[in-house]
Amino acid sequence: MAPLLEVRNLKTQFKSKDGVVKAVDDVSFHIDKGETLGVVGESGSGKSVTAMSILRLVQNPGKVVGGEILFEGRDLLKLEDRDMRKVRGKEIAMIFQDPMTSLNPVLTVGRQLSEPLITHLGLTKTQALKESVDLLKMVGIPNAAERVRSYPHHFSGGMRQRVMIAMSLACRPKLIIADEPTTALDVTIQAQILELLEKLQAETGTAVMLITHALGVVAGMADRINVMYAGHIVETATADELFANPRHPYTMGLLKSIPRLDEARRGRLEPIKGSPPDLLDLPKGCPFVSRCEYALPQAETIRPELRQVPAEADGGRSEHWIACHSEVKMGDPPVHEAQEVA
Amino acid sequence: MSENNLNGSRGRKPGEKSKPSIDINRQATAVMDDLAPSADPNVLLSVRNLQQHFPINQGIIFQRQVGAVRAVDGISFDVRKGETLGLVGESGCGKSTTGRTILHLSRPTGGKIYFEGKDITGIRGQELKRVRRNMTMIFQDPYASLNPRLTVQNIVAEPMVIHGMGTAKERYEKVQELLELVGLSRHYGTRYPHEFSGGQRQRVGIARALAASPSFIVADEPVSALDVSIQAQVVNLMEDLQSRLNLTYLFVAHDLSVVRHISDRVAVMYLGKIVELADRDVIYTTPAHPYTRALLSAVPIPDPRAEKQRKRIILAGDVPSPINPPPACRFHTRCPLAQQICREEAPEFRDIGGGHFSACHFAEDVASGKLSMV
Repeated sequence: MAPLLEVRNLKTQFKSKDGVVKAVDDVSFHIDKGETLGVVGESGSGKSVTAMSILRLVQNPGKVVGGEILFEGRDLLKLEDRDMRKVRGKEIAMIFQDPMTSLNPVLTVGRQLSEPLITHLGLTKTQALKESVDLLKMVGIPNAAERVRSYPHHFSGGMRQRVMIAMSLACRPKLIIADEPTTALDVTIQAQILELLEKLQAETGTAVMLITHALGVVAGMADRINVMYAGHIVETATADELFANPRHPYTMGLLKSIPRLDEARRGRLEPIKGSPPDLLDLPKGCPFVSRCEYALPQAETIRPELRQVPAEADGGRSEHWIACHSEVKMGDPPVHEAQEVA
Repeated sequence: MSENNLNGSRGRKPGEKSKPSIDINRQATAVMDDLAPSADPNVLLSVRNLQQHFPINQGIIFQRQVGAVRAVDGISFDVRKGETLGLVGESGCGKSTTGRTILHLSRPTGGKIYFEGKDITGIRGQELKRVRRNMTMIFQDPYASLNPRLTVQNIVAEPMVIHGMGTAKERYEKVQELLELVGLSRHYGTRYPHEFSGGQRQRVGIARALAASPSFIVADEPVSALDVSIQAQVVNLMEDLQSRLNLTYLFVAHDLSVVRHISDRVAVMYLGKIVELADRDVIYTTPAHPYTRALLSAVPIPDPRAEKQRKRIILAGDVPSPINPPPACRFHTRCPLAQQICREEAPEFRDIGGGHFSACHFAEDVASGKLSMV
């Protein structure tokens, strides 16, 4: 079965007066129908730019300079603008991080929910408003019939994010890209929203690309996970496999550095040394090399390609890929000290 | 804070209004609604019934107060010398306001603050300046809290200038020491904030907080603006500095995993009140307030298998407005265990044993698991 979305060798760059920032550099991945793909990475790792590239929302000075984005076989990068507009919101919808700023403050929620219904599905205003009420009910907003006439500022942060989710579901898209959907929310509200997303996904069969920096969030939600670092995918595996058997030193470092509530308190955290590289001045070899405790000499000069390693969590049925020269596992003693100190 | 100190502190100052007596039926009860500071010499900071209400005004010319945001509404706790007290809660619960009010960045509207045994509530001018030398703050946003037009040297030296410490040369040397202490190169003094990454800026912020050699630091979400891989660096640094310089921290944060890691004791706030306070391990293993339980269960765990087995307590609805908080127990509108009594009577903030305080009518049963929430 062909995947729903296939991204091949995507390159997105931003021109600045100091040089070219390779925000996304040769990234390939796919999303199957109904699947949840988690994309994890720190700020500047290229996860949001990847999402924006898929929807062709990258703005000047940024530009998609190479690659293919095949959505049900069609290359989105080759579509005319008017055809692309039919994809956005209808086939692929997006949930943004900040529910405070991504809704229009001067339009009622009902009006904003109706917009995609009228444009994409050709509903009349009355029909669209009725459908909006149903959508609000679906995402668990009480008194939906009255709340459609409210403005965004009448809603709390969690409620606004529900409205955003309702809006993304309006046209029954095949793929929802959720960019840090719970980062701006409190932890109890985050739990509500994640539960809602899971429930709706089970009901509608939509595929979700869940972008986040929180490892805990993807652990509970994602089927598969891409780990991004400095514009590259450095590791990809099923969620079970990635957390049980991380193979890229960056993923291992991330897992080691966060305190976990379900484990005994550790004496001292083990941070990843140094800080993420300057995207204007990436090392020639592996972008993680200066922070890596396992780096081999060739990592300095040769950029590691993604290669398959045996998956262990499910008896090797799933695929596990890493972009690393070394063969290390969680708990292996460091080969050397990371070069960089903070 | 053991029962002894609390009971010991019950001796009132002459002339102070006595509060209605507490429930005498409960043996281990010790309530901190007394306004006297803790008598324990190990206590550095005592907060008693602290209130911070922000007025809401209406009218353009003739302004009148029509209400108040009760950001902090009567909280009491002690911070012992050399410990880290974690203060957690969701946005709007008053945790940051508590930190800011202790430092008098906004004046408390009620209650008492004692620092090193002295009443510092509402002090001004020179007196306040003297106290502030001993208590400083690390801010959340390392981008907004450093003046972009000053060099790192001037930023870090500023507290020493304000407090008239040392000569220019001594200050210069002290800044170099401080930069090294927080893990930066001593040559970074000539640079400007924009030349640094977020983690490095937070180190500069920490160096500044240490410049006047304070004993008490309020750290307001010091790592939440940082990337995951950098958070651990800053947490470790704060721990190192604490043991080297014998610092006391009030660590304000919303991330329960980080708070558990760094704190000796933890206080949980909800809608302007502390609902639970206990030793770190106690509060995380046997939480005695339904809100703490829900909060802990909502934290996602970075392990898919553990996540699948967990039963989440999903709280219904949103946090009510602090302008008009629910009567009686403030949590009753969202509490899955709420009974009639919770709607009628405010629970006391009481010790259920060994310095474990909870403001719940059913604290014992929640802690023992007799009352299940899932």
